[in-house]
Amino acid sequence: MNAQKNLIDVRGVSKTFTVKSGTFFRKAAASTKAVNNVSLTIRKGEILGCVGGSGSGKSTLGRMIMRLIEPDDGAILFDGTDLRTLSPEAMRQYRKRLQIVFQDPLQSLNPRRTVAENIARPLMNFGTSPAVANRRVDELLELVGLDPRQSYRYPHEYSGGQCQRIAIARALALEPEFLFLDEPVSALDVSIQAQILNLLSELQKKLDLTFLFVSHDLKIVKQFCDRTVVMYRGCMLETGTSEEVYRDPKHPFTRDFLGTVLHVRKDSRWEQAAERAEDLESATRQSEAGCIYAGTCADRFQRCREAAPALTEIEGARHVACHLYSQPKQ
Amino acid sequence: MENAGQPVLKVRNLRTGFATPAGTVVAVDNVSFDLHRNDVLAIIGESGSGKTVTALSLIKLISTPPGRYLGGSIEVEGTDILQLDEAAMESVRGRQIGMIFQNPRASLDPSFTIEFQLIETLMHHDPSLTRAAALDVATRSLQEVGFPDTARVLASYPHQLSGGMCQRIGLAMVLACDPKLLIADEPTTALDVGVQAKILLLLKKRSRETGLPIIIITHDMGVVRAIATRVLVMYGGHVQEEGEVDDVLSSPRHPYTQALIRSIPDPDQAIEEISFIKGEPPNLLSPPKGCRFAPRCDRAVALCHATVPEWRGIGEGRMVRCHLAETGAAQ
Repeated sequence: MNAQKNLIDVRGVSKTFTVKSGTFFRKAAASTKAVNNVSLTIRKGEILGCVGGSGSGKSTLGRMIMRLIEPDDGAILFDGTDLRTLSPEAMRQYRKRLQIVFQDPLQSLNPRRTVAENIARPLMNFGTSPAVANRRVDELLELVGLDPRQSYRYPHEYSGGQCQRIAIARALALEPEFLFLDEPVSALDVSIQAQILNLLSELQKKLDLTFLFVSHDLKIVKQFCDRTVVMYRGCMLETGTSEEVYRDPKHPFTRDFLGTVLHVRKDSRWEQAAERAEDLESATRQSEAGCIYAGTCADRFQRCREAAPALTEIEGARHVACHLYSQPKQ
Repeated sequence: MENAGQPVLKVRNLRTGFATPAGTVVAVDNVSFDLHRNDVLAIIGESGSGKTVTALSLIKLISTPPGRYLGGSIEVEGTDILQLDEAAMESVRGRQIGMIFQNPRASLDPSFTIEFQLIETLMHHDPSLTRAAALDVATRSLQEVGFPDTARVLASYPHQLSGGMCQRIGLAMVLACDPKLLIADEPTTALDVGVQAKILLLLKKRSRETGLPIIIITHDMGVVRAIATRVLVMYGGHVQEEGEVDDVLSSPRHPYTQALIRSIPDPDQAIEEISFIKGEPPNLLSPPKGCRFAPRCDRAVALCHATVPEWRGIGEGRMVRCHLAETGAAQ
């Protein structure tokens, strides 16, 4: 896998959202660093998982790669080309190669168009003739395990899992190389989740796709993804193979986050984790200087409040942004 | 945790249906169960299994029409609430049965402060309360659900608070009315794992400390394991299996429960090994003639397709609706 070249190379991207107040003279009232200086690479053919709670910036990061949100800073290299330098028309051509699957399949499909029209839309956008597009729609529906003869139906006639299959078919219509999967199974029932994950996994192998899989479910990320990055409040705190991050989390945040995962086997550890779990809501923001997690971290020491730790390599391909692993303590 | 006392809630043969242009859909069909003090009963099932309609029926929140209670009884401490009129239900909701919902923000009014809404609710349910007394109860109730800074919360509007906070306010509102029974309809589905754990812990503690019986509707087996004492599995509007949590999760007797448990991603498995239930849940406009799960069941025999199995006890407080529960079906 190491020999594979990087398909996506994100270098130091940041995004700050500003909340404005006032009716006429709108001025910045507050700002949130949704993504703070994040760099990562996704190799060709790899499934990269990105986990974090709500507000961690994981979706914003993915959308910046797609250029659905314009980053304030940094570069996004796709196959060696910086997407941010492209003209709108050049970017439009690149969009064929990057596609997205959203969390809520019913909301992301056009309810007024039939399933066939929904899937054919991206093809028509790029000038495919209706006859060719129709043939392609049938192929795509078969690829995702749906009956092409039913394609005259509307999205609301399908269940959530089937709609997600349709959304995947639409995303694959232009034969992309990269899919951004934004919590694609979070809205689905457990039994259907497994179906969709299986389908994605098959498609990934069959079509040699590269995925960025965003989720708040560590169990699924561990299973589905080759590598995992852990995000918290816009910062990347830890990366490694999914196996390592799950079995041996290094960053205190990852450990706490893992602790609150509920298991089906008997295990009451979650109760202690819940007691300790940070009140994301009530926790006041730490000072700009220190580590972003210092306010809640059980292992914090003096330095954590003074300087933000950089993401550093600790062993193998593992990176952690935590003072516990950088310099000798105190 | 078998309880000798009278059940707080006794549901018998509950049937709830909806009129649609294409005919009547019986979303909840012959559901029966008991709920005692100290019980945390999880009702588990996929979308469309009837679990939420069951919960809404218990507090008579199904809008009629198009909904209709087609039969059965729901006894809360001996009174059949299906016989009560809307005015009488007013005093049952909140004071006897509290409920929290899946979307916490939707259950708060966006145009009033939390303080106003809490006080209004409390004074409505207990007209003898003064404003000051109600504020006092509200403050204490907020502290109980883990808000250290109640003044700030009371002065806020719902949109200024996160989903987890709104859910806790909903819980505080319900608990302040001191209900005899709490129904939680997917209370944590819309929340983050950390916040989910916090809310579940609150519910669990409340049940442990006061014996408050809770019904929690969920599709997440992790949630079931975390807080439930008993579990009721629903599929296609039918109850399929009931029993103590440990028993049902470790030795499920109904093929549907077995398949459901197998389909949960286990981090130790490879993705290809997750088994999933093939096919889709039944269309209740024209439900299968026999067992509702038969079309997707890999053990179904001719009998399963022909007749609906009885809901029957198989010992040790366990109930199941499967023709094959005694024979080869288990495991």
